[in-house]
Amino acid sequence: MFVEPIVRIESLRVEFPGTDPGRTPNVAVKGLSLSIAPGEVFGFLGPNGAGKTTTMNVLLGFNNATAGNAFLFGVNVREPIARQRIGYLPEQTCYYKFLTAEELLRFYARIFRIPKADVESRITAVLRLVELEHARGRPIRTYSKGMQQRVGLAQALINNPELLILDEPTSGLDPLGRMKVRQIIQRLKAEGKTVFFSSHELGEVETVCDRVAILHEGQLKVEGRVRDLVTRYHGDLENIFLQLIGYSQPAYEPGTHLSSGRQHAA
Amino acid sequence: MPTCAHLPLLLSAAFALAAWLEPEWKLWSGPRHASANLLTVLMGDSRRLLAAHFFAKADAYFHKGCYPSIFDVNRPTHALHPAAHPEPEGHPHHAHADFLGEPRDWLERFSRNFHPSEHRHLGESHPPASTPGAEPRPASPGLARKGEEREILPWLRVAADLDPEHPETYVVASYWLRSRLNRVDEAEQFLREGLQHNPGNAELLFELGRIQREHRRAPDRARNLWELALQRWRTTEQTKPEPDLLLYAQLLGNLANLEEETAHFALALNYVEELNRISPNKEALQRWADDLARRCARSLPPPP
Amino acid sequence: MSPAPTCLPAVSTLLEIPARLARWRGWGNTQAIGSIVLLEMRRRKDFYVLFILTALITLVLGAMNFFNEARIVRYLKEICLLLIWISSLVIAITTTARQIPAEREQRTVFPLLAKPVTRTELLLGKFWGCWQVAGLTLLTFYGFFALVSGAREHQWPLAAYGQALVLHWAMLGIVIAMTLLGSVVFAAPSSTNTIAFLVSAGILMLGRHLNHVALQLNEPLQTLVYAAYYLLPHLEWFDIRNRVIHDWGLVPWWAWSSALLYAAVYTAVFLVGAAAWFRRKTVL
Repeated sequence: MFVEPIVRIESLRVEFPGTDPGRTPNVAVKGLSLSIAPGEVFGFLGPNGAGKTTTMNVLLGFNNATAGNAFLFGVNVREPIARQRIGYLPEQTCYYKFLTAEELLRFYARIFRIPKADVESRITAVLRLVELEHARGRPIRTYSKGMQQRVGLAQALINNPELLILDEPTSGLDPLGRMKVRQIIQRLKAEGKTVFFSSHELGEVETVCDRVAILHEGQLKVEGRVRDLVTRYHGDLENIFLQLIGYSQPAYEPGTHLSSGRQHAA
Repeated sequence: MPTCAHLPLLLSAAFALAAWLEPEWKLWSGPRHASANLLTVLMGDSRRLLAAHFFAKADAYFHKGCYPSIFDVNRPTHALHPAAHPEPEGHPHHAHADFLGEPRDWLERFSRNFHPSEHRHLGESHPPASTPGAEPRPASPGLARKGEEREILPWLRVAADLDPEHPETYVVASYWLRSRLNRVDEAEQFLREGLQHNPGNAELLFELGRIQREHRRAPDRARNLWELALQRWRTTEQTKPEPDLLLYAQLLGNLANLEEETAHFALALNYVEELNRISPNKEALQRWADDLARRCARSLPPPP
Repeated sequence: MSPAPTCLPAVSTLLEIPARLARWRGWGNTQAIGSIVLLEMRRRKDFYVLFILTALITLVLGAMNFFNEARIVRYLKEICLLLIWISSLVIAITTTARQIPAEREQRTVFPLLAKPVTRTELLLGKFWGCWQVAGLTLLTFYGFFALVSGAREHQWPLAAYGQALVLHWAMLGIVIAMTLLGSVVFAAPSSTNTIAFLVSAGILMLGRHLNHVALQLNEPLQTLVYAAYYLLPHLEWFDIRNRVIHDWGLVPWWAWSSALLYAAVYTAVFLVGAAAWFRRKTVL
């Protein structure tokens, strides 16, 4: 039986105007095609500048594609209604700092037109999920970075989305914060949500994701189930990643230290 | 750390404190405050510009906010002090000429609905009959039109504070205070304040003399003041290429009247003859002089 | 039986507008975004500082004695209204100028636009919020003004004050829309603030006289100044302070209503311009 993918990207190409004298366009994404099935946790990997965030920006309607198409729930991403059933957590926490967590969630609930009768219970539920119920009345500016990240997750979940787009959700967090975010993603996975997230933490991706795609210089290098990739490439995800992006480790010379190297250079 | 948002609060606190301390400071400083004025030091000559602005503002208030700007072509050429030389009843100054002229376009015509554009004066409850198209308005309830002239006083007070060497400000304020608001004491006090800053000024002496004669019923004091004013006028104005002849004529006329009333016909005759030399209305003055000469010859007793 | 009047469907369509507006998703988003601007105003100090400053200066000046005349009131009305005009312009322009740049700088625009919100709705919401802020500011300030002047002259020309308040609010609508357009075009709020202040103050002071100025110029300057005279929004129409201060009575209602319509047209023009520009502009 054919299942309609939640995310469908077809031959996506994104170019930005060049800054050099010849105005040669910078190609951020080159002919990317992807699809994510309902209930999947999909890891989007790649070094900095690979085009992960650009792809997410196209999905969210922040950037327009130069060529190709992208669909959410079968609706073109250019239509605002395509974003009714998604939750998005940006890489950097960025919320109205003068609001409390509760006011922020109430605002987003209004945007999603959640019925007034359900708003209170929904806010309580998501704050409980991200373990911020005790701080719901405090202004966000007084939160730690980990707490702000969890507020971000709470706002992404306020509409009970079917698809979550998380842009490096654990970056900049301490180990405890990372663990909490990971637990939340696993809980969402257990609830059957579809999660599309980018990350640098390969170990984390390996434990959480069903499928991954590795992007390098705007091109899709590999895509598949984590288990299959590990079997195919005879190594863990980190080795596969380094191999695919063409990274070769420098030869290690015994007895060389960073400090002695610096002295040598001097 | 205080932010920029605190600055206005700090300024307002400083402003309130300064207003509260000002009378105390005047007491402490004793006679020094006459010589060292902080305002003068801080503002320099720009205070004269501001004083001129507030003086003009008083005139704008006299016209109930309807006032020509520098862009209005039909700007009246009259001096900015209608009160200084009030004209007789029934002949209001510049005969209610329409300052703003006809609107040039539909936008201007429409815009006149939003700002005062009829020539009216304080104390008037209806627009002048000469204003075309104006409908009579009833006086607004509650606020009596009588005494409405008091509204110009704050601007004259501020103008005098900023430029105390401008006697006209004191004269105008005194005119309104004594003639329309029945505040003779305040008018006299203000004129004396003006005299402190402008010692022996003929205009101020003349105005003080009018208070003595018209309100205090003290003709001797009025005579002294006017004679002093005349003396000052002769020493200061006569040498000028364009002396203030209006003040000279007013002094002579008032002195002649006073002397006639007190049966000093010879003195009155002298003043009338002097006035006749500068006045365009020679025939009437000649008749007055002839009458005085006859009464002088007969030494008639003064009229009751 | 006579047939139903033909105008009935048109009237019923008109009556349906509020209900349709309430059902329109964009109106909900606009209101929600506007509510954030209102909350921001409540938590910032600008409004409180300016109100205290205005009240303090007015009360101190009101306590001054001029020739023992206790009933002098117009200078107080003038200064209070001048402070109200300055404060309202400061609040309206600075609040509006920082909205879009702050959304971009603090990146709050990303989670917002990732929701079913269009850029036009974001702009409309910001306008609606800033205009509400301006309205609340005016209500507070004019309330204080009415109290002070009423206490002095023992009369309450509420209709005249109401006319002045509504015209002032409509004028701020034009200024807010114009500032919003500036904030979309220029990246830095300081540039938008400066330009919006200069343009507003320039129009308020010179707008009425541009046709007189044009007459004294040679071609092609004369045509240019005349064009500016006809094209610029005449903000000075909305300033009826002199009528209120000098007790000139009400502005004719037809002129008052026409001015409101004029304000609505200019506000719409600026908002459409801002929306068109914002749609083309990358938020990243």
